[in-house]
Amino acid sequence: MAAAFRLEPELERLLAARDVRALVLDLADVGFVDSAGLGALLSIRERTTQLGIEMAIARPSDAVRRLLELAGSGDVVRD
Amino acid sequence: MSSAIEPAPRRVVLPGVFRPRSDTWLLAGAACRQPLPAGARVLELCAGPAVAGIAVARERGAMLTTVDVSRRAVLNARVNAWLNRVAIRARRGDLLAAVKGDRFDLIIANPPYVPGPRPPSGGAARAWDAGSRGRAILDRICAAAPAHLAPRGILLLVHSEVCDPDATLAAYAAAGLAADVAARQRGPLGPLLRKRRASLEAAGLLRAGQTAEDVLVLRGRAGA
Repeated sequence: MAAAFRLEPELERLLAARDVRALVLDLADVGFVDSAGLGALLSIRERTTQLGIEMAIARPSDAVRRLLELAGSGDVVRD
Repeated sequence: MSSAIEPAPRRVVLPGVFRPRSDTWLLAGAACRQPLPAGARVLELCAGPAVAGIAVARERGAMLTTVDVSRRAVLNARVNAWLNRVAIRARRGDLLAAVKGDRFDLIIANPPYVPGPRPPSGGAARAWDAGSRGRAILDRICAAAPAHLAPRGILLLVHSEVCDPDATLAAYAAAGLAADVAARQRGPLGPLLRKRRASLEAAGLLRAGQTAEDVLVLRGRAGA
């Protein structure tokens, strides 16, 4: 949950830079995402949609992929 | 209709989960105005994204439990609780069976109440289809919720005038609760009711040509 708290402001900072066209989050080293992490990912996705920035998640673990699918957001995964 | 709660809780609504509408905000506003003890235990049934429950938890420092039959809605409630930094116990289950033995200072619900087909076992329509008179879920909550109220506990259900508010008030009274209308709001018929207008008129649930409905928050208060 502490990681989820850090993720949003960190990405806000990155997205504030000019000329960001796409955001890919590589989750290869993330074994597990709880509802806090999912909340952070989904609100980042909302933010990127507002800004017209394409967002994708790469290399999710099976558990993370299942969670995203349960959330109806499996299409954010880029294989 | 925007939120009566300012600022509205931060939220995401996952695909297929019922989106907050005017009845959600009417319920949330009424819920936030109820007298509650410190550290109140609040239960939201048929919670969906749990916006009303999260508003109460945030405004009143209450301890929130939510119940929904949909796995995705349970996940959605947890996500929204986190977005608002509110603690939550989100359970998947069938109404009050999911909180057996627990009592609450406030129980709220915006249950499925659109008259039509019997409640389906899955799919998005599970969030609104409520049987021929719109009371399939309402009647079950009215029967089971009073036993889960703490002393001076309050039950708030929101629904349209088309699904017989007097039946809700009568069920409260029969369970020993003091029954009244906590809030009422007139608005145009929602899209689902509009689509079913012909059959609702035939069933006598809408007057011929009726284009507006009252949505009410029905309150039942337990004794000390």
